[in-house]
Amino acid sequence: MFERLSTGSNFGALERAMQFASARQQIISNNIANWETPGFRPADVDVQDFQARLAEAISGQQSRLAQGVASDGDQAIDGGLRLAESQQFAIGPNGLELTPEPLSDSLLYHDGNDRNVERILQSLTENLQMFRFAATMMRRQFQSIDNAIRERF
Amino acid sequence: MYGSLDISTSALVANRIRMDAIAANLAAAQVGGNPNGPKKPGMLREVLFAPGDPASGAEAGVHVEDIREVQAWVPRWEPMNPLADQRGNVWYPDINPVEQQANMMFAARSYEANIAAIEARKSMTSMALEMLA
Repeated sequence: MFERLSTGSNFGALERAMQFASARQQIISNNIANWETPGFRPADVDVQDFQARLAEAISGQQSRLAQGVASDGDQAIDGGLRLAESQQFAIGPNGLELTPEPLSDSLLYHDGNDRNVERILQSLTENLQMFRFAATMMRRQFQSIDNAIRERF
Repeated sequence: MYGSLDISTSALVANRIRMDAIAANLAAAQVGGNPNGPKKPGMLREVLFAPGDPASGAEAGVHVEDIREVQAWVPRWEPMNPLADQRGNVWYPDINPVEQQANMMFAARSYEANIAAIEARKSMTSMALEMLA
């Protein structure tokens, strides 16, 4: 029963989403801090790629659960989520580690910086919303476990 | 966890230094003198930013790499001025107050943007802490 509590719920996915938003916040902060630094190229990670990988990992976890093969060694790490790593996303001892890549989609100014302030601040807001969503979902999840323990509906 | 606060704070410090330099430039704009005499004119100071934070050794963040003193002066013919040279010229720093004003707005907006990043990090931290309650 307690095994299903950790593997059968989406704590692993929410945890990864929160780690992702937390690590990306650092990258965005650096972009904002350097938005007037000559020669600085803003960098970021591919959010859509991460979300696609997360979706894939969740459906893989669900199908393993349905087949009843969730009990293997790596479930302690992230509830058997097995998120696929890439150049940008790696799973280290401190959770998800991000390696940003320079963006090159906007105009290069004469000081060698291709800043795009609106995009940077948009990503700041989006990232905050993503974290808020994952944190709220996780709190609800804890709440429903709490309700089940107290036999309250 | 606090890494992004360090990054934003390094930018706040850099922009405060830039604001100090702009204030000094505006104050020095009207300080005349003779570059070759005992009383020197005011001087334009330009703040140069570079990525990284040598104070903490981190790659992320921003710091003031150099404050460049621009030794450029423009003469004004003021023969009655006691500071004038033999030709009757008093030298003033080449400081354009409008340009400084624009730089000041950049510094203020930059400061605000970094405060916004700090606020975002603060609310993320408090949301994470709320889960304990």
